[in-house]
Amino acid sequence: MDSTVANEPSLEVKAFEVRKLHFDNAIQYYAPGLKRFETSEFKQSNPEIFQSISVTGSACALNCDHCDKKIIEPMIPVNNKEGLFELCRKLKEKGTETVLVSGGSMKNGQVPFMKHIEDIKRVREELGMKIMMHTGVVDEAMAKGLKDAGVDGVALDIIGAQETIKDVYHMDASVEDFDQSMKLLTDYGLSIRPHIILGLHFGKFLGEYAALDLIKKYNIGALILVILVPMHDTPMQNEKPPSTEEVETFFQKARIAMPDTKILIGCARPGGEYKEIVDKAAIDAGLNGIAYPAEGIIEYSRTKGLNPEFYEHACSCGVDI
Amino acid sequence: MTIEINKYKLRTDLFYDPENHYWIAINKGVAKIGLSPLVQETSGSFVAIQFNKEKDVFARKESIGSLEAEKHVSHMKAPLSGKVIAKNEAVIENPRLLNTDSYGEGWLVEIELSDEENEMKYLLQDEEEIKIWFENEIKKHEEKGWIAQ
Repeated sequence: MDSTVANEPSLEVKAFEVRKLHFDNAIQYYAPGLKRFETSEFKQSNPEIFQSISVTGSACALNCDHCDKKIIEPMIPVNNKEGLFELCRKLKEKGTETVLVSGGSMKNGQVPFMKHIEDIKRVREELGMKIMMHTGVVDEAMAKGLKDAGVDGVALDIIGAQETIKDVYHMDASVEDFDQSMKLLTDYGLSIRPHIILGLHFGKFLGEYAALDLIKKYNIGALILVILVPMHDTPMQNEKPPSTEEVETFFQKARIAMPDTKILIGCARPGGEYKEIVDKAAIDAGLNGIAYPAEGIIEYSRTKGLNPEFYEHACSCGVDI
Repeated sequence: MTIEINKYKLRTDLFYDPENHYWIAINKGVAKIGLSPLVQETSGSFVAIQFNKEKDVFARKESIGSLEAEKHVSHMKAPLSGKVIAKNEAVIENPRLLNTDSYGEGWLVEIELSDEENEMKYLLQDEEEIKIWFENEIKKHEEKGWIAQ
């Protein structure tokens, strides 16, 4: 046997070494008010701090197979008569500090937020609230509008396979449109927090590594990794999430591919034992943070020499925001 | 016997743990435990249940495991002290049973009680008490925006 190969450190070891080389010992845990959250290690103190708003209410032109509008349904809808500014003013009175402005998509993958852009600017300037935008695909007018409005960050899902755009999202867009969106947001100097959904193609890996390759060309605020959750009452309810082994390998390769970029595990991933396994894998792969951590993970991270920090914003808002 | 408060159907032949929203049926020193109808609505669809693998004897309020739903993640605090003698495998396999058949197939655990005599005071049984408690809880949940008004 070739002794060089035999002594080659595993991907997991390499990935954790990369973390140690590029980051301090902090690890961030998030529990935004999208869910009420309490484990024996981390209890959310105020679910009002972070709120998510849908500019389209529960409407979406895509009805993607993994979501079927389930993700936007619990968000606070904007009443068009009252407007986004007034909604945010009321939320601020209740203690909200940061809002995610999201919504359903149009067929071209854009979230129609531009008619609220003046309100978004006022929320930032007059109320002093922090704003994370979930935009979908953007054109130049949108990127410029977001920059002028002074938003704190922009999140969008990056899909790396045309089949997934067509078969899961039913969207009239291409992988190039996502690349172009990343370029425009970068050109306008926005802080981007792209998301990759692992197993998005009916539980199978397809465009995830292409999405990673696309994202790593840009200087981003943080990369957010989430995992397909086959939700009840959606066309994917009977699908299985990707194997934990595939997810673990992706974590390690992402860490090595983007050594000095913060990589965080977002809100969406299957629960129970699956979550325990992938959260532990995230720590072992040297990722930087986890939303809604599994029971016991915070103590586990301490055994790896990491110092936990706790936030009640969404993970994509917790970095430089 | 069942009463209806707003749209919620509540069995009144059972005990309730007002702090954790459990229903509790007690028979010969064994408590069978499930979730109140209000928790089901405010939590959304349940997606995962895990029980503590380290031990099976718990003091009251100790965590016996965790529950995860679309809108809620929490640990399950033991409503009474004792030994867990049965976990509902059907609900572990299909957590949606907690939403669809909470008083039936969607029960959680059975606990052999170790201090029944002293701990029953923490539970509600009187129908009027249960009614007042549940109405107040609905109001609280509405104020927090956890249920649609």
